[in-house]
Amino acid sequence: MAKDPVCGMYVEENENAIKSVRNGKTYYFCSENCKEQFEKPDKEYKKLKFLLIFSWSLTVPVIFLTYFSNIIFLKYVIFTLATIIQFYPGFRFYKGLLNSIKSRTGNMDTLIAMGTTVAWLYSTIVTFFPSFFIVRGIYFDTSSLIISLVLTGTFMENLMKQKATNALHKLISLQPKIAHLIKDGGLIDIDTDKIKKNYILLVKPGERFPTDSEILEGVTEVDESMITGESLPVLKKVGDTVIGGTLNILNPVKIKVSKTSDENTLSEIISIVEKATTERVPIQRLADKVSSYFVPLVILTGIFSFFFWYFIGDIGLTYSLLVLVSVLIIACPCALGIATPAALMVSSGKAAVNGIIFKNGESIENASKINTVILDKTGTLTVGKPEITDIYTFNNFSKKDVLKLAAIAEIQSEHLFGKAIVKEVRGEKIEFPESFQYIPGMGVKAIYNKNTIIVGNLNMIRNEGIDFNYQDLIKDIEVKGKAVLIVAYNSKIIGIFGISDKIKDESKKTIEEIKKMGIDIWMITGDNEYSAKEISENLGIENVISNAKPKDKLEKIKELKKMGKTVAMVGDGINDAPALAEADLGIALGTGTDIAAETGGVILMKGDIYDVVKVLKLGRKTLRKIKQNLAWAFLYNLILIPVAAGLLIPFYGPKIYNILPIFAAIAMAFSSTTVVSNSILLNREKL
Amino acid sequence: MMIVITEKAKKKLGELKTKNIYITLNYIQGPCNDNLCKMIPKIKISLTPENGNYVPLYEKDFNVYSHKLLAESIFKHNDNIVIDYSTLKRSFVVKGITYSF
Repeated sequence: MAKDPVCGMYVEENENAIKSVRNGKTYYFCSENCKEQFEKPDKEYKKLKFLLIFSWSLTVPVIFLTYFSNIIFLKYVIFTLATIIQFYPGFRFYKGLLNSIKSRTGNMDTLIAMGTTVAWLYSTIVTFFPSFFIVRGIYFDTSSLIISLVLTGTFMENLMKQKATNALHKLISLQPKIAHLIKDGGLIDIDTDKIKKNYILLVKPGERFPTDSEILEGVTEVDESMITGESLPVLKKVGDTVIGGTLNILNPVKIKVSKTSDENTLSEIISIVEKATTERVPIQRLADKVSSYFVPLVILTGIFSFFFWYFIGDIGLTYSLLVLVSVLIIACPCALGIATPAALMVSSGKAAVNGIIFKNGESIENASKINTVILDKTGTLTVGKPEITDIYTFNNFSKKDVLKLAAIAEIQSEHLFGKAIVKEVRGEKIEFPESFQYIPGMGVKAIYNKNTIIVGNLNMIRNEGIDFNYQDLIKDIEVKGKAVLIVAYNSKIIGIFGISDKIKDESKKTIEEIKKMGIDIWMITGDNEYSAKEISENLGIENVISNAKPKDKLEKIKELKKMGKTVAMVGDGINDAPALAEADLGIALGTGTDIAAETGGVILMKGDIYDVVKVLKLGRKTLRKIKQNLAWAFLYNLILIPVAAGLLIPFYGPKIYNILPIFAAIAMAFSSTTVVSNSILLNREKL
Repeated sequence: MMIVITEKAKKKLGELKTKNIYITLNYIQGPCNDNLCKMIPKIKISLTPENGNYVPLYEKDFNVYSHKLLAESIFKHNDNIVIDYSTLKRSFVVKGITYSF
């Protein structure tokens, strides 16, 4: 099932579905209305602007002429103008009312349509049948003014919403429309969505890369700030990957397309951010429950207030009707409906332009609740490029031989230690073994020319039943905070490597900041206790688990969750996938290109560990904003509906209703705008 | 994940001579016509399938089926679900589903 990118509803992806294709990607919609809002967001804005000007240009004369409404002829002029307003700019509310009747639900339009119709209908009857009434005041100015004010509010909200979605629009605009295809020795400009894999393109300085590609020719510097948040230009040379949408700063380069525009990183980011903003988060549950009963409750309150003031309060038909109108107009279900999505929209947009991708709305809420963070060591707190620092050889094998045999065993390994060994013999030809087996948390076993090579830790050597008499040497290496790899050849120990990794510059600051937030930190590593201790003492981490196998991470997360902790796991999106999925919040340090493959609720595009602090801070700030919005929406309705229902009559008398419906419209019109504006303030928050 | 069917609900199912309960995810219009304001998901319990594809949640003395999306959310959050019969509403009610889909 696909998700409607506008309203968030799940829809079947069948042939009859309402769909639209953008950048080669198909989007599915629940209705034509949602499709139109997706395809032509500007159309609604322009239409609204016209209706607003039109409505006010008639409302002002209505207000002015109402002062002279005792002149009978003018009454008919006022009626004509007010009727045009009621059924032309006000038609959108009737359309909404019709939809709500069809779907048997109430919405804001139901209330506005009912409220203004009551005022207009009453005034119309007074105009044409004055003899029916003792008091013959008309309230066309009220119905017209309410429509104009509500339209003003909707227009203001639209302007604010454009600011709220600014970040997403910025991302969409990064995709260049034209690419220069190199064909038959010449250049042809083609549309970006027509680019196919392996096309060779030319990108000139000052142009954006059309899609994810590999550099074939040339060296340049690339500004990746809009995708990864990295502010410094990145040097790119032949063989390097460039991300679509990033800016070529220095030189013209030839590139080979690796991903088409509908499947590249930028398009994935946009679709993830769009999806995240349409999701519902648990905090919204209460607002949703209230929203479903809100409109019928308001209508009942209005009708009850009318009867109460007419029969018991005895304030007369006109004022009792104005009480009903005020209740219907002042109630604002919209503020409740957009309180959470508006904050999520701004928050996920702000995160995305900082290179932080929240894959779903729930992750933003979870980020606010985290009280325990588990960090993987290698590649997360350390640079993740270990180097061999010590080599010991035995049984008459030279360093060169041991390294070469170890490299043969590790050539197919993706483990960082394996890569460190292969790097040591760079320049020499490394042959492939006949067979290769990776044993997680232990090491590798390979068969080469019918000989068995084992490279792994002490557990691996013991498991293989190999005699080992170098415990003292291992201890000496481990005490220096280094990891140990043992090489065995046909069940004989031939070498021991000491391997160490550098702590990332920003790791210490990150740990300090997380601690300041009152969050517990755990470091889990497969390395020995000495190596783990060296790093943890340097960084000030008290809770450390060393010699951990991949499943130990998973077990620790489960244990902490059972203790009632809300756990975030920070690690590599591919290798730590099970732990990231188990945690309440999985934060993956991304490689910058394959975000769809990464597990976890949050992807840190530039792989900067300090972004973990930003994720946690943004989560807390977003939740605070959602709570503020919801509090505003609830309090607004809880206080102002009783006011509109007649709370002020005992103090000021019924005459206050000569102006109260107008104040009700002003309050209602700006309540939603307040929610959106408050959400936009998130953009000013420093992370 | 745990599903509890109350004695009251079991008794009612017995009276209705059925063993199957379907939990369906429906959507209703949000409170305003605004593209920020989303459709509200509502959960409905029925004794016959309504629309879409269902997956089994519980198959013992009684069978409980739900929409796939809903099931994914239930499993992900390890929800403890209680299915009861409300005499007041004269219908089956479900409690304990985490609100995330």
